[in-house]
Amino acid sequence: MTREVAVIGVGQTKFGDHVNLGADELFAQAFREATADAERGLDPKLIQEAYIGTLGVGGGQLGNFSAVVGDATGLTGIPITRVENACASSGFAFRSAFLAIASGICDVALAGGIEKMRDLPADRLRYWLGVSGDTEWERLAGMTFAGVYALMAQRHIHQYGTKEEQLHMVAVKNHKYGAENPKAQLQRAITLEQATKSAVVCHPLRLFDCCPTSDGASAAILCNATMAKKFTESPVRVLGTGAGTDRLALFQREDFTTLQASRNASKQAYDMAKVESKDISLAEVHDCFTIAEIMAYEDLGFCKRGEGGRLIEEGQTYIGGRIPVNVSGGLKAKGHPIGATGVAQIYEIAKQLRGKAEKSSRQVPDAKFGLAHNVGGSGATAVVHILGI
Amino acid sequence: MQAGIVGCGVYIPRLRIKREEYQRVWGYSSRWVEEKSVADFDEDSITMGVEAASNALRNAKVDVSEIDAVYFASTSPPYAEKQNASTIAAALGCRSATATADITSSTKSGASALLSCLDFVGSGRGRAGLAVAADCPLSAPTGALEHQLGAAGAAMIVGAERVGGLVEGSYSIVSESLGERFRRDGQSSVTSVDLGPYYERALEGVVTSCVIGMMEKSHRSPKDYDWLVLQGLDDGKALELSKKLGFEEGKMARGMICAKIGDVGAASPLLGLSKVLESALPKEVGILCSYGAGGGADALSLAVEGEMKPANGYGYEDYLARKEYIDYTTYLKVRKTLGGS
Amino acid sequence: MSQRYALIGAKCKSCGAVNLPLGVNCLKCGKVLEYEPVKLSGRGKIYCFTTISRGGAPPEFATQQKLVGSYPVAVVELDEGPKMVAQMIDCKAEQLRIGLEVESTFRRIYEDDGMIRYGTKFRPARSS
Repeated sequence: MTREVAVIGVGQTKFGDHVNLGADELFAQAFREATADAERGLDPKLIQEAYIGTLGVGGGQLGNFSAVVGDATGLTGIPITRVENACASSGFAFRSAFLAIASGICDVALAGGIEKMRDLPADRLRYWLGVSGDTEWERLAGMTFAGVYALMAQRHIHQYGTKEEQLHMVAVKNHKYGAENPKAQLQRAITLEQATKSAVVCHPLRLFDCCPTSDGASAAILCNATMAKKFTESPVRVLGTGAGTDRLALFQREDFTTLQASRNASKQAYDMAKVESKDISLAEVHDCFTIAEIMAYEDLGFCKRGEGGRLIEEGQTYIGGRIPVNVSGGLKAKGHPIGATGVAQIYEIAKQLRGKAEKSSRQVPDAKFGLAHNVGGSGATAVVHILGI
Repeated sequence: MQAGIVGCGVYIPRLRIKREEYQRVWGYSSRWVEEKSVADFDEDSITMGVEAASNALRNAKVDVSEIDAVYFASTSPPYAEKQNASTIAAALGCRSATATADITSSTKSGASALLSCLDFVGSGRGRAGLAVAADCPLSAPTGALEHQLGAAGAAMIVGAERVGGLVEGSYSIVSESLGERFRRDGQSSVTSVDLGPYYERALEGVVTSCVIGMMEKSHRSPKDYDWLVLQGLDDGKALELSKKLGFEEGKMARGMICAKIGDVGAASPLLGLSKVLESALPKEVGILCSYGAGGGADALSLAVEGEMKPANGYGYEDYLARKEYIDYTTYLKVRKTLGGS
Repeated sequence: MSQRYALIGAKCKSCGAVNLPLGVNCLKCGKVLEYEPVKLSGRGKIYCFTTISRGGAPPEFATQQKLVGSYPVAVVELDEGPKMVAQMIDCKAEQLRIGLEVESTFRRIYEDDGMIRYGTKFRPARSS
């Protein structure tokens, strides 16, 4: 029998350039914000387990990163585990924290993520950007991470008649919301024309279809739901968690236009939460590239297969539409410090469900159920959480 | 056991550069190279050799499992130490029980590889062998040699059965001399001390005695032959030489390759021979003579027993026709990657 | 290396599907892969493709990118079944399309610690 779990505090640094902060200082910021967020008071000593997601791109510390987290937060002594599933690292860290509490192993746990990417020379960065796909048969043939997603986009266009313009519409939406999010890396709205005319990165993806590289950290504190009100007047319940995997190499998958990992993860989460896609009030999905958001609409059940392009074109994923998606700015505009993204999505959902989004223009009215969707690499891993208030 | 050529294959890179480009950039150009082939940034003598060998197998309808040896010839092998023939054998899918060797350091190596295969089969060491010659020699841009240097590959399958070109015999000359054309270990550019007339006489002397030696051994005279293939160094000189030897111009023309491809070093003897054999008819008789500066020459006498037509789209003319012109800047860019390889 | 160089696939003894590269389990039937090697023809069709541009190439290809600028990469569906990722050569951008018939060729792919890594690239199939 599993116990119910709630989120009692969340924190996130601004995403972008933090060249002057070490990985430990960066994480400490997010952690402090999360503990302070539990406004009725949370003694950090109550945290019994911690899970930290990071790929280890920059920052200088490769192994035993858990110890860095202990040093940064003053939690040294407790069990701390580093979780790595590429860009889904902290989403899986959050899931691990949930499982620890749900299983009864502990009552209070920390889940977080951190990544420094801006302190590397271009060569090293390009190396890291290629590691989350199949190294031998994709990267060493000359393929890049953006290239893999470009192939998905091309197949989606070929199989469903999705328009290139619809990819750029996703960027326009996310930049609009990023401009309204003080924690976003890119706070400049763009026009469809700008996006359509921007330089080609990997056909058909252009500059604005690709998320930036970022530094950033995020943290969330979870606890046994029965004690949540001790710490905050508005705990956010974690109703469901689900995760899945797919073949590492895109070329070994049956269909390049859908992520099996996302479909499996969302089905598990919906089943556990006992909600359906139509019940979701807002979603934070993994838009490392705009095509990924369009595919997510379909994989998460917000529209039928092949109709993702139509959904964005109709404006259904803006606030006021059927299902607001990525009102934080998404990875596209908010930024994507690889390890930090998963818990940053939880941060946004939690804030929105409590009615506390930074800048009320981004607040989704009457938000009841939120969905966070975090994917690793080109889709080899994915984790979905459903939260409710 | 009498061995001979069962089939042949060629490879000529797509990229070409015209004489006009050299004229434009340098104000001078090699008079008899109208255009030449250029190996692309991702090509080298191994990749060209692989394609030529693969074509030979296809043209002759021989399965790679029948090949017992691979001999590779080049003056520009990518590795100075690490056998290059092994890479070719692996790329073709040869069985592990395959004899391999590299023959390098002279433009005459192509014919040496052919002779080695003939010895291999003739002595009973194996059923069939592949002689693969490919080259993309480099020289300093301001040097006298540079303009003429091209890139290509050619391969011959040697066997004892289904022989299209029977090798009646061979005749070899060794000749030591210095400065004509050489490249020291560790250098990437082939160079020449440029004593033109002196070298012309050396080449003429060596090739003449080799061809004459071959004819005497075969008890034949120039009028008995249908074609003569000489090392592709200078078409003009080759025609002069063949005339002096007593061969009609038409017999020499059949195997000339330099005007459109350039000097392709070790690949030249086998490329010129392939060009002839693709359209050679039974009962024809011909001579091949290679030449290596500061080395010597090998001559072979061949009697055509069967046609060796290439598969559709895989012949010399097909590769010659498949081209894309580049300018001198692109030529330099593409060449940089080959530097030192 | 034989897989990379000579396109030698693994034909599953259980279901007959051709696997390339060799994996622990058959990609089609999922059983532990017991196989016989089969030399592939090198012919196939483009399943999808893109161009790698803007200095985004993996570091091993940085020099190539400097020399030739952007380069096309495709997923080729080989006639025998398996798909593979490889660069496209000898073709103009306008020629590239899903469904284009292609043939394999042996080329230098990149260099690593002084060693030359060879492998397969594709070009439009010649008409025969």
